[in-house]
Amino acid sequence: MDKILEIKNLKKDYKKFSIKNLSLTLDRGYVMGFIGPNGAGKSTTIKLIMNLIRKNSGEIKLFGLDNIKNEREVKERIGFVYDENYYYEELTIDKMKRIIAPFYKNWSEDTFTRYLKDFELDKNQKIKKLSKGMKMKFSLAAALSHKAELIIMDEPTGGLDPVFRREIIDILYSLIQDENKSIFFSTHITTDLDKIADYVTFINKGELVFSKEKDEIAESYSLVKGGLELLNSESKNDFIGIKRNSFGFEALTDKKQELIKKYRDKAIFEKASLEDIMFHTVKGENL
Amino acid sequence: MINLIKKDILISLTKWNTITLIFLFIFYFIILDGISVEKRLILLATIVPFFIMQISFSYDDRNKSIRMIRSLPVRSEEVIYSKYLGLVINFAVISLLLQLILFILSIFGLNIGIISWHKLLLSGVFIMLVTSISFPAYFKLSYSKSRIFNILLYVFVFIILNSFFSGDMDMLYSATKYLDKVNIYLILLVLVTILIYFISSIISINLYKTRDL
Repeated sequence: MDKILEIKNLKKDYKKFSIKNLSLTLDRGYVMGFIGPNGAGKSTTIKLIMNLIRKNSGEIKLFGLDNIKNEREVKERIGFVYDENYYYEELTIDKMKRIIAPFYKNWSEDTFTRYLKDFELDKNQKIKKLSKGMKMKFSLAAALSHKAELIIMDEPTGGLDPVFRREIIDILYSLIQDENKSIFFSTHITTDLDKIADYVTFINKGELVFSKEKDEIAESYSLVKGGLELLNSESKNDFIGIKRNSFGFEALTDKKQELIKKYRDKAIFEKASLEDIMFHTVKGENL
Repeated sequence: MINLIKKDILISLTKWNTITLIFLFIFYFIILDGISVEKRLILLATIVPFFIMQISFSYDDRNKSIRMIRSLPVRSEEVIYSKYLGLVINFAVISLLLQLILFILSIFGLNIGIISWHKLLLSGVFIMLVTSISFPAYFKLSYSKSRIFNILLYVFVFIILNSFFSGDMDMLYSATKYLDKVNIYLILLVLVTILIYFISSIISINLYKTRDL
């Protein structure tokens, strides 16, 4: 497979936070959702990929090329969408485009104009006058107008209302029909991934929890519900996170098949959503 | 790199910035009424490039746009070189523009004054030396933090520059006598300035690369 993004043993140390030996791979034509709670290290990882911050060690390859040694070449092939607006607010969309376009060899004026029309953006509108959703759409239009092979997005749906979120997801869905394009996007809104993600990478406290195919995750994880009498020092090892309530407990497990045999009709097994997985992993047993 | 320089000029010369700039020119000419036209024009050629660079720095800082710029296909080195080169280009363009305006006015019989090329060159040297201190401060500290330091630096420099041309500072004024025409001293001064400017850009690149955005 053609590897678009390859991260090996990535480390970045801050005083109170670290990215610890992060490794992941994204192949051409696939969509990877990058999830984790706030402060898990998603934005830091994306900044490291984009060489906005310096890594302590490890390797980041984009299109098989080192992201620092070949910075210009790899960025030519990336469309980057930010978590907030970093364009010059004082400029109009058209003036901002006149700044960005000359940097890209493959900039397509027709594509940009088409996206402006599709997204109902007025090119003479100042960026500061746009709503958050419209700014995100402009950011997407700019990222998609230079024939980028990899779209990297940092929390593109964060802070958007459900209508805009749905629209952004629909735009991404139409994008992935082109099998040459890959998308890597971070979010803590896990439902965003249901429609478009092929792979999900989950990090917590700077550490990789898993990086798997979405379907594989659904098969290996399960929610278990049962009475408190099932919880003892031995059974606790079966669960990733346990939430107790007055009726019993709800827990997450990644040993679904094993536990079905073990508990049979004493417990109920339900499909775990990504949100359930994230919640129980982050909160752990302290519930 | 040329795209980065064009970007700085484009964001600096928005409608309101241009109006402010014209207003400042008029105000500036009125308050410096007692000073010769040549000195006023030279000071103008010195101030405007700083003004344009400061606007571009403040816009980058206000919008945190350096993150957007760094996601474009440019190397970190190019971001720094564009600022250093941009200042020199701005100065050269403004100097040429002023000379052109004076030349056109003289054709129509309006001889309001002349600017000697060597004094313009000395001003260029001055700008480059000041920038050699000011830019590393910016790339180390970011615009908002380095602003106070740079404002104090510019005020200090323009007081000196004004005294320099007024002849108030005996030692400096005597020094200009050696530099009043193109000679070995002037050439040496220009070469040393270019070297300092280049070293400053290397320092800025190293400071910039170690800064997390």
